Amino acid sequence: MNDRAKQAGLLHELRGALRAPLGTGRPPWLSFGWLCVLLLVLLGLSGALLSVYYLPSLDGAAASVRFVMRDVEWGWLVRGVHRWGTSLLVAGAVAQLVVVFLSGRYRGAGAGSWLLGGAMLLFVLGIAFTGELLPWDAESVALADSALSGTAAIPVLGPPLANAMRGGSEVGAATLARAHTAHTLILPWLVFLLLLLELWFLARLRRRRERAR
Amino acid sequence: MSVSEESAAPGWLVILPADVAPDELERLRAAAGARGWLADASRGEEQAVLALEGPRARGELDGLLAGREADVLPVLSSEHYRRLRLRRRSLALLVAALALAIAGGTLLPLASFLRPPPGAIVAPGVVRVGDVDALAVGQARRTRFQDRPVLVIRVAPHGWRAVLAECSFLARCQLEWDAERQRAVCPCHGCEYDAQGNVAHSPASAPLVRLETLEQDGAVLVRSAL
Amino acid sequence: MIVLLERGAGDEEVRAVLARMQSLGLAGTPLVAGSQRLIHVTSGRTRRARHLLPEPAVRAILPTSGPRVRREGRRFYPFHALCTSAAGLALIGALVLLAGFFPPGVSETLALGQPPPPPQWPWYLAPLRGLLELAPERPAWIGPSFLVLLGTLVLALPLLDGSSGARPRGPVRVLGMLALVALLVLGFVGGAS
Repeated sequence: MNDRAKQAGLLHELRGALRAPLGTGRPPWLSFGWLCVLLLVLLGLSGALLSVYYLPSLDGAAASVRFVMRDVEWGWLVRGVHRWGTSLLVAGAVAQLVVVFLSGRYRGAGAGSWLLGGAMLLFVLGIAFTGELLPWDAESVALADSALSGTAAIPVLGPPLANAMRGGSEVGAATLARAHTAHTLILPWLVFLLLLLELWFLARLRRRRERAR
Repeated sequence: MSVSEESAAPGWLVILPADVAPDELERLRAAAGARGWLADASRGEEQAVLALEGPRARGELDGLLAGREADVLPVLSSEHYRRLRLRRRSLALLVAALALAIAGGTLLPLASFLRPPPGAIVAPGVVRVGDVDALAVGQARRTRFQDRPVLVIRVAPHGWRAVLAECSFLARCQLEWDAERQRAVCPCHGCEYDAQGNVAHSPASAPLVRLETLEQDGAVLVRSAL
Repeated sequence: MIVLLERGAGDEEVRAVLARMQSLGLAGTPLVAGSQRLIHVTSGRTRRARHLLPEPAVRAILPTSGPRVRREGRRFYPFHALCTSAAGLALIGALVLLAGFFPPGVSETLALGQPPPPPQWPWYLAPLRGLLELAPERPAWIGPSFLVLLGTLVLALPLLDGSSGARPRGPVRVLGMLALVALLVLGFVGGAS
């Protein structure tokens, strides 16, 4: 009886939270930040669908991408949504940072949010870039080559970093494998964690502002 | 809600915050009574309510409340409330129907996306064309192999032929299989080939490119000689 | 929550409604104001009051969470939830249109022994590319290190600008605008090459 009452209480609280007024400020769905969150969800879903058919091997990669585009039903749609979603996500993240900069909210209490946002942008760029490599067609290989030589040029940290990204001395299967893991596992989870931190941060900011009123 | 309805219904409900002091509430009720309203009040967990009835106009209420934090609701006819309930219910129904349509529009394509199309890539360079039982002897199936169209013909219960379905004459039109005459026919110029890929009817001159087939685990695989 | 009763509801009916409320776990105070008869639900899970609607004596159930609600903005559901869903659908629609009219391509696999074609950088990395193009050839570490430095500066912006007030300080704002313009220019440089 106690447990049921507690459960009912939680549901009641959730309902209460859903029906609570959101304040007269700018509504949440009108900000670039929520656009980015929505896009992240869409990209995650479309990426998961694409990974059903994607083969992360040297010969299979391009063939599987072509397979998805031509033979899988709605495959062209899923891939198209995935590609265009990344462009929109990067644009939205940059726009959000610009808006925060112009409104001056990055200072003082908002500094943590700015830092998290900047870090998220960097990781999102990393996801987008590794994603470009995944089809492993001629252009992807060229891109990998170019990026790795650029990274190797950074003093001190460059060469070992480039080596770790390349997975060896030559661009090859190891590079693709690392790009694939980074793109589908490591970087998305990092972004997800940062996003949770950011949401918690924003909630804390809002509570603080309400208390100050 | 028309203005005439409001003035015809002389009842008002004033909602005050729950933390209003009880003697404050009592004072309000007495003040309302002094101005000619019939009033009753009560305090609850979420809010305090002051119910009023009287011939006075709405504007007089503002004077009574004197800038207090309060909501004023008019008391309306039963018919009105019934119509409001109907409207709310139909809106909810509309939203639910829309949500269902969107969900269906997403889940159905998703299901067909996940259904593996024929010609699934098994390993690089090998394409699984289909189940052994899916084709009758003498029938052929069109599929793709490394972006080129391919005809897989079952010539015998365990005999398969796979040929590039591109006409060797001029335009490289895609060939179609005519099961009645056991010929691969080109719709562009009338070239015909037999099940082995050899030319059966001019104007073609070169035979079709043959691909290696093998049967494995009840499925037919095509391996490249490309 | 207010349970509004029909005009002419008598004490019998009021008692019946109160009894039904008790069975739902609600407590209320009956109010009489002239011909108006109503019951103010004072405690309990007030949402359950909607089960009172079938009673013949009940005219309407009026939800009232308190005057502060209307002042503090609109509720999440149904207003914001529907707006967010609409915005989300619009976004998906835009993506579907883009995917349909501008589908991404995939080119041939790199044949062994063939040199790779010149790299085509995605648009969002074009400023990066532009910066690297403009950086001097030798020493090679200048371009990338400058990038790293720039990134650190942007992230550490709140530390560098400790001002308060409505807008960022004048010089910071100017620098920021300049940085944006520079980014765009570099983007063009990077995209053109």
